[in-house]
Amino acid sequence: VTVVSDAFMPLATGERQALGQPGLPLAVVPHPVASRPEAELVELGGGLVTDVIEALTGGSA
Amino acid sequence: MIELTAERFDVGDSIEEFNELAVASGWSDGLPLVPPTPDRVTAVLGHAPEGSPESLGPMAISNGDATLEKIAINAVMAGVPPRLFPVVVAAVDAIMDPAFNLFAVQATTSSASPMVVVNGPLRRELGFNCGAGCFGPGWTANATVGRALRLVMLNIGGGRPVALSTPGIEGLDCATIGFPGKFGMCVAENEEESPWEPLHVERGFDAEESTVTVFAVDSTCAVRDNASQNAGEVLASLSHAMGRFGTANLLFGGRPAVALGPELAAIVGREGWTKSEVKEFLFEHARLDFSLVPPNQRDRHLVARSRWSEEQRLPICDEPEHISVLVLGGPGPHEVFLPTFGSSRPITRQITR
Repeated sequence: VTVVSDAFMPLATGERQALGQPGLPLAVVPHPVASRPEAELVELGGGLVTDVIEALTGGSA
Repeated sequence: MIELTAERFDVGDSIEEFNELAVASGWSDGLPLVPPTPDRVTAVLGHAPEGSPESLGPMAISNGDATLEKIAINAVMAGVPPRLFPVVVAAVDAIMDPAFNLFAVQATTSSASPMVVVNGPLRRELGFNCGAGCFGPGWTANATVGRALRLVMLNIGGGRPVALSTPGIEGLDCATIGFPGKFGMCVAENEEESPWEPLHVERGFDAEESTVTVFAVDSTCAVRDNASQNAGEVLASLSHAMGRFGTANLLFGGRPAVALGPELAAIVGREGWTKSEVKEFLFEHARLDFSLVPPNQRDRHLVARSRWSEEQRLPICDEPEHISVLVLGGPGPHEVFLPTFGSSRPITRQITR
């Protein structure tokens, strides 16, 4: 699963297409990431757990 | 002769019609393009280096096939005279070396883009400017070769600006601000007025060979120095401009470059300094003083620079030899620091015809 911030979705979707993996799952977080304080980053990560599990298990989370 | 296989479009004879199609199709860098008619493309391909493969391979980011025909089409659109095509091919081959890290250079939010430096006898023969005003404007060879390389990156490598994304054609260049060098950046070294061996000789080629060297430059930081009277003073003023807070090389290391105008280079050269000694000096003096960095940010400056610590002054890169020293330009007391994308190395390729 690739984690991407929403501002860079064109790069993520273009690259998975170029790699011949158009269905590669993406877990999307709101932009920006780098400038957030640690507590917000932990919260962002927590919000991804369901998406990541669904992507890895085919939606059986 | 290479058989042309690219899709053809009938747009009539007007340059305006072709450019409307080019903009709508996402082929343009925003400036008018020369229509790549079969005759023009064939003329450029007639100057392809002898024995060239039909393709240089898949080009990052989009893995488009970098065929000679497609490179020639972009060279025509950029206005490259056919005799300069071998320089374009060498530059494309250079940026596709894995150590140049084209994927990251194309996709990054930083402003990185290739600067092409031409060395050897072909500089003069093909009309490259290495003297006054060499970064432009006004010189066809410099302007069109740099532009052709950028169009190749856009149209074969998929490096269109992200803000120009359309459904099915994503823009993959995520530069936050960019810089004018992304329209094209090609210079030649002023070998005749340099006190040192030319860049390509330093990098293992014969003086009689001609080469391109590509650097992933993210800006040109001008340094004016009317005051320095000796080598130490000249290099001190340059190193002050390098070791500044926010420079990508300080965060990521990599391979920064500097270019001295011939007058300042002569001041350093007449005292007998070798190029290696210049690099040693810059390495020792172009450093970030951690006392200027807020304490809570200091560890961020060391994430990619694990060799160093807060107790040391952080150098611009990890080894003196990682700094490239060029001599460019004409009369005047000027030099320039060329910060580079951290995860990219300069690559040199011989120009063959």
